[in-house]
Amino acid sequence: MKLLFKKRQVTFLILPGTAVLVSILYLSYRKTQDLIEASRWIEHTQEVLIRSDQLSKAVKDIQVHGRVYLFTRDENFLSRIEQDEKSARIHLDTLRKLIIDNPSQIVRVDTLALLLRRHTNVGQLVLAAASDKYDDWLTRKLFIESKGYEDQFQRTIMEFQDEEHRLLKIRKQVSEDSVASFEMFLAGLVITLVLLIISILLTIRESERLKVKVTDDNINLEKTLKEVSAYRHALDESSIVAITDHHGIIKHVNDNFCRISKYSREELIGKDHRIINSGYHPKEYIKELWQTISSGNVWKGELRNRAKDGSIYWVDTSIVPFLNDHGKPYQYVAIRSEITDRKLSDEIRVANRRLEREVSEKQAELADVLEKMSDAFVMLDADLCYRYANKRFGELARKDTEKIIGKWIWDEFPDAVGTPSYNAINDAFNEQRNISQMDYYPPLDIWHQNNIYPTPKGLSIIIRDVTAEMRAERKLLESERLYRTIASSIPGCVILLIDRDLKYFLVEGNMLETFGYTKDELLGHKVQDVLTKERFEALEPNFERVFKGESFSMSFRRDQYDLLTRYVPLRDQHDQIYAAMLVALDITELKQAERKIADLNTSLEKKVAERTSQLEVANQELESFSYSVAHDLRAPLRGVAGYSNMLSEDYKDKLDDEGKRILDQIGHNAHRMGVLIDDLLTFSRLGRKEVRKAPVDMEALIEDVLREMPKGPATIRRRDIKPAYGDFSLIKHVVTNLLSNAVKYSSKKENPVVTIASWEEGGKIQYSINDNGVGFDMKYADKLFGVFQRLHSSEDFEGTGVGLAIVKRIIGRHGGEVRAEGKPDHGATFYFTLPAVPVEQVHERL
Amino acid sequence: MTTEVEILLVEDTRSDAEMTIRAIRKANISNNIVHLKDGQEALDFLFGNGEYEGRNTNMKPKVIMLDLKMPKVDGLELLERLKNDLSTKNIPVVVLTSSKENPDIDKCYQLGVNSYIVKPVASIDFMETVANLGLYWVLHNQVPDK
Repeated sequence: MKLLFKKRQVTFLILPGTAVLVSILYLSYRKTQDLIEASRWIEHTQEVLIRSDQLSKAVKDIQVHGRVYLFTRDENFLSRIEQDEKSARIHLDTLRKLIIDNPSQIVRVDTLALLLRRHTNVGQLVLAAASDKYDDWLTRKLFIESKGYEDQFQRTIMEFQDEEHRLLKIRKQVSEDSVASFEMFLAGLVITLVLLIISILLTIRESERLKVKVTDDNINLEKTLKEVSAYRHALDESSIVAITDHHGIIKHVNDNFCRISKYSREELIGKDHRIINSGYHPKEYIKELWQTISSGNVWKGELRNRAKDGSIYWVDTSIVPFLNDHGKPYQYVAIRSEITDRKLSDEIRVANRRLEREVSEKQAELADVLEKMSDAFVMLDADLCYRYANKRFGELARKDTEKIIGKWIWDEFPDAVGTPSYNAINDAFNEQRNISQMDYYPPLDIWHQNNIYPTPKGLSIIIRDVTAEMRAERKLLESERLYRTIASSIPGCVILLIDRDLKYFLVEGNMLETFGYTKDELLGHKVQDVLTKERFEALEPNFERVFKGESFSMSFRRDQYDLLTRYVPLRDQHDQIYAAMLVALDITELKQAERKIADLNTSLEKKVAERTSQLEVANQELESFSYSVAHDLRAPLRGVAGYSNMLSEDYKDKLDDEGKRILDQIGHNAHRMGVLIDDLLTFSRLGRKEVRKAPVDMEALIEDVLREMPKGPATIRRRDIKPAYGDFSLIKHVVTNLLSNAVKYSSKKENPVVTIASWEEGGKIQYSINDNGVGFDMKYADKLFGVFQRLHSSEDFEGTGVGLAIVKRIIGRHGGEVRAEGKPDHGATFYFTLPAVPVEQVHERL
Repeated sequence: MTTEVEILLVEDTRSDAEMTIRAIRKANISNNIVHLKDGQEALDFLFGNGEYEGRNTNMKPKVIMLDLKMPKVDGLELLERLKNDLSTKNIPVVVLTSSKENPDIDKCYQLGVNSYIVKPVASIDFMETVANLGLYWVLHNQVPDK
């Protein structure tokens, strides 16, 4: 790793070094170019300056030579002038060529050229003036003019040179800057190069050193790998090895692992390590394991694992977490060695200890149970001497259980020798078999059930006191005999006893043969096996009811016989239902009589209905009869009265007193007949009027009647008037009638008194109306309530003789009675009864 | 103008009719009473048929006093015919019957009777009742013009 890192470092040094080198080369090229350019420009400017100086000198020479000529008139100077001019033009042309790239200098050169041309022209004019006719003024004048041009020329050259000097200055500056920067550049270059060389040297040295180290490392590595593979081989050979990732997914297992877990490698790789979890260890144990290894620590412990075939094996386990660079486990290596045998022997040892403990506990428990059990228990040795006897045995046999140990059984119970118990014990011992047997032991007066078991050391006997059961059973047998006797002595009767399994265990009575069964067909058989399926299903609910403790009777008809069956549950001494008693009685004759009565009733009802409808028809006829009587009798009656009236009105004067009296009698009789007809109609109407019963407040009713009656002289007294139950309007009719009678028949007395009273008698209300009037003879009492029966003449007391008949009829329709008591001149008392208000109606009214 | 007839009495019982007429006259209520013996005669009279053909049927009585039990056409039938005919339905009809027991009272009111009187048993009461009836229906009661 380190080696690799160093190599990369060198590469990082060389790459920028090369880049720097290339840029340095480029820069140095550029800098050199700049330097050459700058010095070239300086040379150029200097040349321009030299040329312009030569030009200036040439023009100056022209002027000087001209002046000299003018003074000297030496012809040589003329040729000199020509030469000067020529050289001036050459300089000018050269100059122009040199500054061709500078526009401002070209303007100046052009000006110089123009001025030179003018100067030349004026010079020639001067020369001409001087040569042809010497005109001194003109020559002078022209010379001055040429001098002007020359001055102008010189000034322009100076401007030109100033410009060039300025340029030279700039270019020199540029050149100096270039030189300076080039120098600095060179210095930088040198430093860079030096650094580069140093680093390269360093890199080379480092790599040399690394090369040596890598070689050493490789040697070591190879050695280590060899060692590791040897370790691994040793581990694989000696241990059970598995590698899981940090999630517990198996990545590697060795052959030992496969062998012990009985899984193939393919079945294991990629699976969760829990594939071998036996579920034996508590959660906390496994949790602790995971906490240890996931925090990077080695876990050591014993684990119980489950192989593919379900077999269990124990392994002593070390789990080593492998950590990544961040210190987190990325895989776990589990190294196990099998310790199943050791563990098993451990387990066996523990189990043995537990068993021993349990055995001793069980023994103690057994002894306890034996002492506490409700049955007597003894153990006998091979000589039939007592080895053990429990507490209950002592109680039952009235023996001391400790003193009995070692004694011979028949010494203790000499009276039992020769009994069935004696034989059973001997047989059980001799034949080595279990015998269960019951016996009565007279000295102790007990029935006992012996269960005798041979044991390796002798015999064990459990003795149960069954005296109570035996007595109860006897009692049952006695009661069964009783049932049997009863049933066989009642004709037309069957008694059946059925146990809880619905099995007949007592069948008695001569009725049995009537239905074609014999005793043997039933006794000991189940009900469902004897009866048809339909019949059994019909009876099943009855059995359920009776075995739930219900007693009930049912009557049904079978094969032309009417039977009354009674189901009674039978209870034993513990009040448990052990059987059901069925008693069936032949009630055919009774039923036949009942049916006859029902038939008679039906025909009677029919007859009553017939009679009722006949009566209704008769009533209707009577009604229409009453109607015609009312209509047809009244009209002629009114005619009689009317005509007698007319007669008395129209012929009064012609009639004597007797005639008038007779006429009056005619009218009077006609009127009475009318009243009679009305009363008769009322009487007949009562026969068909519906009685609508309701509670009647008799106090209020009497109050009404008295208010509506004409006031008489009688004093009316009332005492404790009870309410009645009946038709208000009809009862009012009764009271009106009786009260008006009482008032009427006492009206001729001094101090007439009428007393009304009531009391309860025999569930009904008795009312009485008493007066102190004329009274009547009791021998006519039976005639009082007949129609048209009167005891007094109409002359004495008005009346039709229908009133009391109406009273009797109304009271009769209420289910009551009416009677009268009286004595001539000592008043009369009329009694009538009415129903009392029913209790529920009283409450309703409340 | 006076009406031709003020009271039409339809009554088959001679004595009742005689007493009625006597009572009306005695009370000076009207002399214009016509007495007919049964329902058929009353129909003929009111609609101008048979014996009364040509009678001015526009002349309506102020009241008809009607007995129920009559031969031929009885009181109920006559009442029904009169109340179902536009020309006669406005004539007041007073039924006079003999018995309280009469089951016809409901029927009469259904047919539109104007009054229903049970003849008093006593003749004096009877005549007084008839006189009162006449007084009321002839002198006090008003009927529509047409």
